[in-house]
Amino acid sequence: MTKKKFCGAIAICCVWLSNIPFAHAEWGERIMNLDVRYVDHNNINYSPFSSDRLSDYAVVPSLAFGRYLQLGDATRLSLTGEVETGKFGKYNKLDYVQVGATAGLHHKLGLGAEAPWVRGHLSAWSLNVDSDMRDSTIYETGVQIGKRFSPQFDGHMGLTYRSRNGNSGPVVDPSFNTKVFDQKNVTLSAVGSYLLTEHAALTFGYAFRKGDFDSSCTGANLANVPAAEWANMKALAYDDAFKLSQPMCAYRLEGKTHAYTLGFNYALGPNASLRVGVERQNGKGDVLSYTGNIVRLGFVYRH
Amino acid sequence: MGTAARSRLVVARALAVVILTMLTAGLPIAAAASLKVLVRNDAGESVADAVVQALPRGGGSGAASQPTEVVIDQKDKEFVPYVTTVRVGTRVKFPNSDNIRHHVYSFSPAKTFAIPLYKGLPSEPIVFDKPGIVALGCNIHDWMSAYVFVSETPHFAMTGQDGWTSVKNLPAGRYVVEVWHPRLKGTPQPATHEVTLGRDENAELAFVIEQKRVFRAPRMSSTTSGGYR
Repeated sequence: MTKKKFCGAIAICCVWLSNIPFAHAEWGERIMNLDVRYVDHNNINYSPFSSDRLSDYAVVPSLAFGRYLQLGDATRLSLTGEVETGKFGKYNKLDYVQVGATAGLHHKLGLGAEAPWVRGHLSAWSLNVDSDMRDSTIYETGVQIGKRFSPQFDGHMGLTYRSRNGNSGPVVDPSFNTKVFDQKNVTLSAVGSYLLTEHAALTFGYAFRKGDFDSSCTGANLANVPAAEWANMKALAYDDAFKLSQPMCAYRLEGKTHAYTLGFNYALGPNASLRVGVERQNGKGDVLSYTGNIVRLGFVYRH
Repeated sequence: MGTAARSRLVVARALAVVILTMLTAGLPIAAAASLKVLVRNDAGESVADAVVQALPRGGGSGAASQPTEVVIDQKDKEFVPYVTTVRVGTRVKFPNSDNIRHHVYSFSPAKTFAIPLYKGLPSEPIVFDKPGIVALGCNIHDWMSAYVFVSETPHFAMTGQDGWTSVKNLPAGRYVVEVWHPRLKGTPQPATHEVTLGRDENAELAFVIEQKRVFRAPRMSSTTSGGYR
């Protein structure tokens, strides 16, 4: 994200905030969210070639802590600091620590549990990966609208812009930029949740992402990438994250990804739940298709 | 004592009886009837927090009583108690025992009101001046809910964990006994039973009600963001 765009997003938020009467602003409840996930990905390098697809799993604990600032009867600001780490089973160069913060502004358009709401957020994270070329500064901004339609069913839609500024990698071809993890994309998403019982909920979602993504494949398969796809490639570098019999190359291109999610939540009490979910990603560059299946198991605690 | 004097004494005694009967006709009888009620659901389980009220058949709301005050608290982001029964005209206080603000409201026709964001005790209680069922919520914490049953008669009670309750001090007569519960199927119409009570009678009634599933907005969002990619 350029400085201009980031400042523009902050300016829009300031205009919104300036219209809210702050006479009764007061600190509200504290936020403490603990999340521990097991994630299994069958195409962690997002390769379009079946012979190159690598699978791995990771344990991902994360913690968000902060506080709400109640700005008015229907408006609150959340300020959170976030820490997340990922430990991979096979490809340890993907291990990472991500630290950052998010400011979210939530406004309810009316009174009652079924009143629609709107939320905007600004986030900034520093990502440190054992694979140095993946180290990044990430900025994200977005807006969501949502509503509870009945005691059992609620949903929301969102539009998010994400900018990742990565590092340079080892050169494969001098004519190519090596910053594979300099990526910008926009995601449009829709998520729903349906209570099956007082404790169990079904969740489902769809996301459409347009913009940059990365893929890694062997050098042999790189030669099989069609010319049209090469023309779309924006960056190329050797990928040190995957130690195989032959070197892997990572490249960045622009494309579209459709992601479908289905999940099941079971509440263990008012503050904790178990979650299981699957995600199917269907990506497309100019010619090649990039697909992946992800399974997630998690425990969540919210204070 | 002469015949005339005896006659005057008999008439005086008869008059005294008539006058005493007239004077005591409108007064509560010291030994009144009571009604013990058991509420169970169709699975045979005891139903707690069921409201039982006895409405005199043929109208009349029973003896008038001074309005009282009742408290519905907010603790750990929940209303306490979940169900409250009050007589029409009762003043209800909504203290907030949490260290965060709440915004109490109701859309119910029996009492529509809102107490915007506050801490501690609001300056004025809310007067529940119409009979009916009032559903409460908090605009900040969507899962918070509670109910106030506003009765037009002084003859009401609420079941305990064992499903039993007693409605006491009932004058003799015919009554329509109604049971209501937040999870009653067919709400807002309560389940009813007619009963005739004699003076000093201790009657028992059992209700079997069908309960529906009630879903409250969950305290935690069910959705989560994507994984590490």
